[in-house]
Order: sequence, then structure tokens, then C-alpha cells
Amino acid sequence: MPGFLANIDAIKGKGVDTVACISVNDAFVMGAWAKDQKTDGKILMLGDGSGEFSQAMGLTMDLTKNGLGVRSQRYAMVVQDGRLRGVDGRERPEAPLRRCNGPTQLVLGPALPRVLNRD
Amino acid sequence: MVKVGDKVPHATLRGMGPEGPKAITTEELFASGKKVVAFALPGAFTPTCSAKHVPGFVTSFDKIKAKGVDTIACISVNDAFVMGAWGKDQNAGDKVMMLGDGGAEFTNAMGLSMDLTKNGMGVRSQRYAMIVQDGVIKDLFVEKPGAFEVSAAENVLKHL
Repeated sequence: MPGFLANIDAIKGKGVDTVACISVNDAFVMGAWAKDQKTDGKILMLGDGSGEFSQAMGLTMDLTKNGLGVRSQRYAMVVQDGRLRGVDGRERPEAPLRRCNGPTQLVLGPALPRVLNRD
Repeated sequence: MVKVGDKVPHATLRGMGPEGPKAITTEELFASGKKVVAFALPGAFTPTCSAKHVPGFVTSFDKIKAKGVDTIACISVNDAFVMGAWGKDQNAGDKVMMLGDGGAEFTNAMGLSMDLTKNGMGVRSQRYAMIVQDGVIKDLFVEKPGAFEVSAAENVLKHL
């Protein structure tokens, strides 16, 4: 999250209209987290509380045993006109939620990899 | 659904410790020799829960403790990270244990879940409070959908 916030101007400078953060939490939690992270409306904080979106994406992971239920894997994607652009997987051991067991996937479009990789 | 006289079913809950999520079983939380007030609600940071339910127990802490209660616990189908952040936000401090039932294991075992999938919240807990002595439910106050009366700290206090 802080990586996308810090790079928001650079990302927008590449012609990106919207930066959205999606998590299997409800809108109340996403709103409270937005406040905590001081996103200040720069990042759209979206809850996928029932996991509908994450399941449709095929990117869930079952953390029930960890007391987290079914959650989203960590990934990013670039979407143009409703279609995903490019795919590139990369491990990010520095990610704060490194307890997550699921594979880490970063989905990148050709126009943005440098900016997103800095995160 | 569990009823008065039942033992609290086995489940593992998680609170936020200094080094991350910390598991606690219901056998530990509702141990023999302990009097515990537990209340459950549909979600952290939601309006009724944040504005009334949790603050009521935080402000009534001294009165509840004076009735011989060892532990006050708040349980919700949220993960330990959310419960930790919410506890801070609500100034729960050491007064109310904020416990996450992220996989709804406890809530399902109690038979007190409700399906809010269509509202984008998945399966959550109904709103209720209970008084547990030696692991056995002595009083159970389950709210009607949308209501907030019997599970409030004021009502629980009357039964302690």
C-alpha cells in the first residue's frame, strides 16, 4: 500500500485513470484502513467481503486454518479497456504479509513495469 | 444454536499480540474457574458495533469486573489484524479482549452465524452476548436481526 501511495503521481503520469486496492474485507474495514493509511482518495479502497471477485479471478487462497478464512492472493494487474495487460510473476519477500502461504504474483503491463517494480 | 447450560464449543480464536496474531482456544478463554462475559457482533468498524456495542462494554468495564467477571471478550468474524486495529480505535486496551474468528469456526460451532454474502460481507456472526461460568453458558442474549437491546452491556450487567 505505501508503495502505491508513494508512486501515485508517477503511475498517474503514465496515463493510469484509477489505482484500486482490493481485499477480502468488508467496506467498513476497507474504509477504516484507508483512513489509517491516509490514502486520501488517491487509491480506491474496495472490499470483496464475500470473496466473489477473488473467486471469479481464480486468485483465492484458503487461510481458514490461520483464522483468516478464504482470502485473496497477493497480486497486481494492469487493466486497459477491461482487459488484463501482460503477466509477470515475481517473488516479493519484503511484502509485509509474508505469513501468507499463497504464491505471490505480480501482473504487469508493458507500459508500467518499471514503476510497479519499484514497489 | 447453543443454549443455556451448554458448554461453549471448541474453536480457536485469534487476538493481536505484540508479535502478531495469537491463538487462544475456547477452552483457554472460558476456562474452569473463570467467569467470562463475551459478546459477538457482525463486523469491526461497522456503525452500531463501533458506536454502541463495544463502547458500552469499555465504559462498563469497572462495573462488570466488580461483579466477579474475569474476562470481557469481543468476538467477530474478522481477522486478528482487523480486530487489533479496531481495538486501538475503540480504546479497548486491556479492558476488552478483541478476538477474531476470521474463518467463522467459532461462530458456526455456536450456531449463530448469518449469511451476509449478498451484502458483500460473507458469513458473519449474529449479535449476541453471553455470560459463561466454568466454560458453561449461564445466560445467552441473542438479538433479533438489526436489533441492539439485550446484548448491550447495561442488560448483561443486570444478569451478573
